[in-house]
Amino acid sequence: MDDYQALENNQPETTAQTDELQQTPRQIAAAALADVLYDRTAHSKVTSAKWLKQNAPKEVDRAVMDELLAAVDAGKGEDDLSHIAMTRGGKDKYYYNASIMTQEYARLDAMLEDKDILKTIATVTRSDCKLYPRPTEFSKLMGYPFRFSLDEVEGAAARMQLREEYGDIGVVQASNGAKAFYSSQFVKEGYARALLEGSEVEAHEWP
Amino acid sequence: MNGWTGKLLRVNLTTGQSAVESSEKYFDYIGGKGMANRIIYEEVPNGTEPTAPESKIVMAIGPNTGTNAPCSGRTTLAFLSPFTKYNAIVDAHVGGDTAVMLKGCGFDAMIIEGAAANPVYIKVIEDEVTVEDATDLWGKTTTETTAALCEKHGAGVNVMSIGQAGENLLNLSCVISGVAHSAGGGIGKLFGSKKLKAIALYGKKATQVADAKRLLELNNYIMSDLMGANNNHVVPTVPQSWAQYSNKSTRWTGHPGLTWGAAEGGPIDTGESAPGQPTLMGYRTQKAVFDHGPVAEKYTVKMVGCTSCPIRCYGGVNVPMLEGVTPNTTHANTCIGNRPYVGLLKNYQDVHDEGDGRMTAGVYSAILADDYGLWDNYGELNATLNYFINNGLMEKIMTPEQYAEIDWTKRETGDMTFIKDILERVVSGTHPLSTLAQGAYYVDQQYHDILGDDYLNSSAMTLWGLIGAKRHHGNECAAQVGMLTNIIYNRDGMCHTIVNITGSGLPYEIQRNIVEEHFGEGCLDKPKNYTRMNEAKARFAKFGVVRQVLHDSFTLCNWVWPMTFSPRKERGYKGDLSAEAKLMSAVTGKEWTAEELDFAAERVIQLHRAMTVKSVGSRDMRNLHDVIPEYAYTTEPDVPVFTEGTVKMEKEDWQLALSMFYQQFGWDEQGAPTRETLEKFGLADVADDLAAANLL
Repeated sequence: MDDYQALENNQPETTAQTDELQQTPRQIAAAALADVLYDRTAHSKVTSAKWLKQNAPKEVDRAVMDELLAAVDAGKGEDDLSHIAMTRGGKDKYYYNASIMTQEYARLDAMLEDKDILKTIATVTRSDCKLYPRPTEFSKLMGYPFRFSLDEVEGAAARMQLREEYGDIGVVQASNGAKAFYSSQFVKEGYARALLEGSEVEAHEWP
Repeated sequence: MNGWTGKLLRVNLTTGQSAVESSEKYFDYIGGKGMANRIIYEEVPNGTEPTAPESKIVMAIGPNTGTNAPCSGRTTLAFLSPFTKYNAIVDAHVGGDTAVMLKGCGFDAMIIEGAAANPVYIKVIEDEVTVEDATDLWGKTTTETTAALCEKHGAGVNVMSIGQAGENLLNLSCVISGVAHSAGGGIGKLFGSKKLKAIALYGKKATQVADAKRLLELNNYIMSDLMGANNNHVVPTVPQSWAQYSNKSTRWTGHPGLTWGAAEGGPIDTGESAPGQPTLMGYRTQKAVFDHGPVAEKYTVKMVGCTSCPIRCYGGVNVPMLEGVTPNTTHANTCIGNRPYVGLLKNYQDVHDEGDGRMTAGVYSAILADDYGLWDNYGELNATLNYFINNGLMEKIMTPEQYAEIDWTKRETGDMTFIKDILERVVSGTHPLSTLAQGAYYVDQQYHDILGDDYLNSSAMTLWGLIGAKRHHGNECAAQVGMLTNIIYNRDGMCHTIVNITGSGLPYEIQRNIVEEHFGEGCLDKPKNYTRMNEAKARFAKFGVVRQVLHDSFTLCNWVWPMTFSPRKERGYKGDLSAEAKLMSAVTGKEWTAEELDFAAERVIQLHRAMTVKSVGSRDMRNLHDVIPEYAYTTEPDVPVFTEGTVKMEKEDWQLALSMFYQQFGWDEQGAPTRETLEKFGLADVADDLAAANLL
């Protein structure tokens, strides 16, 4: 599955239904793990498998946690983990509570956790151009939750020109100097520029 | 009686007397705009000069006003336009707490007639109605007037006031309500012509509703399931954990890390406010940042808004850098009203932080304009001033001495006091710059010898029509659909039904699929990628104006309503277009369907169109009224029409669009209502009237 498609799917990759609660040690561990993941999801963060292993709740035996997460990975999260979903990033697996976080956001945050700026920008740009359609403003990438610096974004734009896998990614500029990425897979350069002019200039003239 | 009070107040400024009459005969027009338009039709003869004593102002609200239904705190003022060609009927809409105070005094409408010999204000405190001397208030700013009347009659009194612009009879003058909310359309000039400085309202009567429990349930449903942010944008600007989509262009700006930076007690994070959390709705729209940019965050005190509005679309700021520069450092307004004349400057001088010059100049200009009661006409006055400056025309309308008095270098250097230099001359009523605040049509009439045909047709002006009315969401919004929604009116249309959809933030295909269920295939084009006119677009455009008129009559705020979309994924983002009818049923006790309510709103449009035909003096609305400027056909000259990247219109297609739109309303090919159509809406008397004037 292409990355831009991955941003658009409607259903979580892996979720499962809760079975009847039993206070077995395994279920206590599941509850503790679910609490951790709920808290972190509520703060708009996915949680990597690596982080979980390093910060496992004391009630959770390492081997049990591996089993519980494996069940989540298979879409069969047990007990309190029934709302936990996993999304696979480039560098790790990431977990989140799917009842309060969308799959789209989880995948975005997973990319940010992977810290692969080129892949992140290209994925978001392709999704924006295909779905809305719209170019992806540099200013968007500098704001929440991306928080890239202008130097990082400008640098990414330059580096992507040298990478074949990002050959469809280009940059357009509005009359006020605002810049945005576009993907030639989904919009032509002229259309991307016109859309950017609309959002960056015209929309402010006629709010 | 439920919803309506059944009473209207008539105040005669010539005699100083008032009378209470029944309003029940106007219920077929719902209320608000509908009621006000019908009263003007019956009581102000066609051809009356807008500022003559015989001219009247009707201020009206609807059955929904005062019920706490979300966004029901709007008031309509209807009167004859002083600033557009034909001086036909226009409406001004104002928020704040004017509407609920008028209802609280027990009235569905107030008719203001006659003219006082000396400055007066109307005082309506509960059941006591008097016309008071306002000699001491004449010459004061709107803020000073409001403060003086609140001090005199109590802080809870709602004050609507004109400033210098209205007193000096500028066409582009407004009434300011509660020092923030404005009613435009040139209403300030009509107040000034009647020597009416202000209206002070205070009333506590409750609005009676038929089914309070049902109304409460509806309110909860609407706020939990249907409402998003300002303009009912249902997608946040940045990715949020609960959201499937994000869109940088929407007004759902609130998000973790973005604050009201100058809030009492310290910054308040706007955070996430997912659907189903109505108590957090007020954090969704951080409008100061939306209007002024990120630099406004630390100056934001809170969001402000109208009575019964959970959205709060006014950015309330305190800008200490204006200490000693303006009478006060605080300001609250929305959209262009937050920065109406900032465009007069070519550069901006940073004041405190890097990049804060534009915001500071914007707030500065807004404070000045609101104190003067100067109406920007959705940016038209700013555009006209710039047009004259940029084309070297200022030298031609001023004497050399007058021209030399102004330090034009301030414009280049970004000295914001340049704005005051210009505006104080504009509002003087005597300086040549005052002539530029007549509205584009009258500016063109006075200066056509130096303007030629370019001014009214220019993309720098972006009018919707050569009658001098500003485009307010036109062809840049859903192509022919947006432009068609303008021609109904004799001013800028202020129709937000369509732009609320296209600006919702949802991906195009979701928008299209939902609206096509209502209006048919092909009703909504991709942004800047338009197709030729079709019947579905005509139906969509009609829906846009019918719902706006419904909202202005009921009343609901068309800057938020209708609920075409929902922020909820589980609803497939579908809103509920029957929500208004459900509210109407709960309030009045009579069951209404959406179709029945739309029919009642369309009655108002048919009446309005017939009144406009009378003012034009011809049935040929196509060629005399509904004429759009040349820029609409020539914009983006390098991009062919009906291809990606342009909002350009085509002349033949526009004529087809008019024909299809006329057919939707039962009008003839000239764009005028037929007898059959008028009678269908119970307007046989209007048909007879048109026939008697040889206009049927």
